[in-house]
Amino acid sequence: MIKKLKTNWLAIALTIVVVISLFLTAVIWSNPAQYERTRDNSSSRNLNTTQSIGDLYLPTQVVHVGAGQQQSLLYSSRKNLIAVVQKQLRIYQLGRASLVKSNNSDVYLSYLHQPNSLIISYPDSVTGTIFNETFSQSIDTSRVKQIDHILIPLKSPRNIYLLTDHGYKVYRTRISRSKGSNSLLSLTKGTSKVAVDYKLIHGQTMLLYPKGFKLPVFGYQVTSQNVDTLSQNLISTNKQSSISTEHKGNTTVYRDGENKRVVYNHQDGTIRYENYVSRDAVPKESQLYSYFFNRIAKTGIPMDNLRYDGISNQHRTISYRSYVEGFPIFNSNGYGEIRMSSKVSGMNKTWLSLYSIQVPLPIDQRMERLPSTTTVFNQLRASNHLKDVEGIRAGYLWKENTNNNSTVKLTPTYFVNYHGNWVDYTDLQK
Amino acid sequence: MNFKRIQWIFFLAFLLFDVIIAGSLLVENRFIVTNNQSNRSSLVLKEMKDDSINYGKLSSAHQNGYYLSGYRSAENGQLDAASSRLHGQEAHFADNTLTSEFNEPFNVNIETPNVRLNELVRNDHQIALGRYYQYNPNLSTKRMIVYTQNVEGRPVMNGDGQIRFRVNSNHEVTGYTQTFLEGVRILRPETTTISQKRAVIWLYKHNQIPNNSRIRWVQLGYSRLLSTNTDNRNVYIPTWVAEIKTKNSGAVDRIPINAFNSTIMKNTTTSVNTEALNRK
Repeated sequence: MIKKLKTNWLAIALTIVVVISLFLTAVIWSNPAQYERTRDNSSSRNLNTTQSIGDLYLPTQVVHVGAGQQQSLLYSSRKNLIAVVQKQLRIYQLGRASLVKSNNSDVYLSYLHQPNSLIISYPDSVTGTIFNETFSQSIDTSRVKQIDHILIPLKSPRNIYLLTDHGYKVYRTRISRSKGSNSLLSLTKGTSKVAVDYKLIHGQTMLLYPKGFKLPVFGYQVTSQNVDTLSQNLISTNKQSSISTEHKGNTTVYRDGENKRVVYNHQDGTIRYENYVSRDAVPKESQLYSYFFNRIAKTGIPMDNLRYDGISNQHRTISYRSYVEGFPIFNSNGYGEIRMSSKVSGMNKTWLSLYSIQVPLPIDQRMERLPSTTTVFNQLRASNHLKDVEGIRAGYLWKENTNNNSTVKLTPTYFVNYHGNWVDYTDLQK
Repeated sequence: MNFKRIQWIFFLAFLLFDVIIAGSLLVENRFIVTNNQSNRSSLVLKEMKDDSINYGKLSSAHQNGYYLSGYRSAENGQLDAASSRLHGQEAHFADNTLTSEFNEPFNVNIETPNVRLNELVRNDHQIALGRYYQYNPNLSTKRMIVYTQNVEGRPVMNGDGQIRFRVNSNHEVTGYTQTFLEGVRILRPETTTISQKRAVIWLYKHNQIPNNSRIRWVQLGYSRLLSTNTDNRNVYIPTWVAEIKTKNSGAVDRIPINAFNSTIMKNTTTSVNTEALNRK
C-alpha cells in the first residue's frame, strides 16, 4: 500500500490540485455577488460624507418594555439612542436565525410586549442584507427576508429576535459571541419617556399613545441647495454646456439629451428628476435599497438627518424623510423628503426639494401637548374621517419656511395616513 | 517527453492556478470591501508626502460631538460676578471680556508654563471660574499662554471661552483677558464627526495646504458656527482646527473645518434671525 503511494505520489498530488481547482472554480461560479459587491461599495463611498448605507437605513424608534410589560418610547436630546444600540449590536456576533413562530398574531404581539426588553423598530420593512450592513452581521438573508423590529432582551440576553410584520414571523438568532459590558442597560437613564402601546390593527403593527404627553418644539436653519449644482449632480455630467434649460411659467426644465430631465418649480422649490436607464441596468427589487442610496449620495444632499421611511414594492418606490430625535418630519410640499422610484421599464424618478435641515437653532418655546391617540381617533370618528385613516404617527410639522426660507419651526403633532398621504390630524377636523 | 514530466508540468500549472485563485478569494474580497476607504486615503497621504507636506500621526477614529448653544458671559453674568472675588490684580469687565493686570508680574518656565499657571487657575481668588479651563499647548505661543474652557469634554477653540495670559520678553506673566461661555445647552443628540485624518485629507484635496509645509497639529474642539437673536445665543459645533506652517516663509495659518460636514468655517459668523421662531 505504502509502496504504491510512493510510486504514484505525483499522480495523487495532481488529482488533489485538480480537485481543488474545480472546487475554487465552483466557488467563483456560484458566488459572483461577492465580486460585484466590492465594486458597488467603492463607488458608493463618498469621501465627503460620513454617511454609509447602513446609516441611511437605521431603525428610528426605541421602545423600552418594563417588567410589567408597560411600554415607553425613548427619546433624548443628548444621547443618540440608535447609535448606542447600533454599537452594542455590532459587538454581538449573531448566529443562525431560526423561525420560532409565524402567522400567529397573538404570539407576535406577545413578543412585542416581552418584559424587560428593547424593541427597536424600522419605519417600514428592510431586507436582511440591510440589517447585516447596518449592524455588521451575517445572518442568512435567504431565510430572513424582511425585518420590521429587533427585540433585544435586556437581562443577560442569549438571543436576539427579529420580527417581520408580514406573516407575523419571529426569528431567533443566538448571540454566539459578545465582549464588553451591555451598554443598553443604562439606555433608559436620563432619557425622556412617553407611554406607548404596540397594537395590531388591520394586520399592521401600530404604535399608539394611550396618554397625552408633551414634546419640545424645535427651530432649525434651512439649508438651501443651489438649483444649478443640484441639477448638475442629478444629471451627473461634467460637460455643463450640454445641459439645455427651458423656462416655462413657474418651472425650469434642465435637459441632457433625451433621457435625463430635471423639472424645477420656482414657487415652492421642489424638483422632479426623471431619467431612463437601459433594461439591464434596472435593479432587482432587493437591490433598490442600495441602488437608491448610491443615487442620493451622488446628489450631495446632506444626509445626516435623512432616514429610510417606507417602501412600496408594487410601485418600486422608496421614500426617505428627515428625522428629529427619532420623530419623522412632514411637510406638505415634501421638504426634507426624498422619494425615488425605479420602474421595470427603466424609468427612474426622484422627487425632492432644495430645502433640508441640518443646523438646530436655540429658540424660546415651551413644550407642546399632544392628546392621546384615543382622543384623536374619537375626534376623527366624530368628523367621519376615521374610516379612511390607515395609520397614525407622532411627528413634527414643517409648516412653512420663515425668515426668507432660512429658518423653520418644527412643532409636534400627529400625522394620519389618510388616502395614502400623511396629513396633520388637525387638518381633518376643519 | 515522458509521461512523468507531463504530470509534473500539469501538477505545477494547477498548483499555481489554485494558489492564485485562493489568494484572490481570500485577500481581495476581505481587503477591498473593508479597507477601501483607507486605501484611498493612504494614497492621498502618499501624495502629500510627495508634495513635501509633513505631518505627525493622524488618527482615523471617528469622534462624537453635539450642536451646542450658549452665550458669551455678559455684564452681571457668571464671569462678571465671579470676578468680584479676585485679589492681587486690577480687573475690569467690558465688552463681554474680563481684562486684568497682575499687581506683581511673575515668572514662568516657557516650556512648561502650566506648572505655575495651573495653581493660579485652580484658585478662585486668582482666576474666576478657573476650574472650567485647561492649558492648551497648541494654541499657546511664547508671548501668549492660552487656557481653553472645556464644554462637553472638548476645548472651546474660538475666542468665546478662553483665558489668554500675556507674557513679556522677560518670561513674566503680566495679565490676561478672559471670556466665558455660559448657559451651554445641547441642541441635538450626539453625532459622529469626521476623523482627524479625514479632516487633513479634505484640506489637502481642497488646496488648503501649500506644498513644502508642515501640519503642526490638528485639534478637535468647539467653535462658533452662527449667532442668533434668541437671548444672544450662538450655535457651536465640533471643529477640527489645523495649524499649518509654510517652511519657506515661516507663515503660520490656522484653518477650522466643520467636523460634521467637512466645510471650511468662515471667519465671520453668520447671524440668523430667530424672531419668527420665537413667536408664540
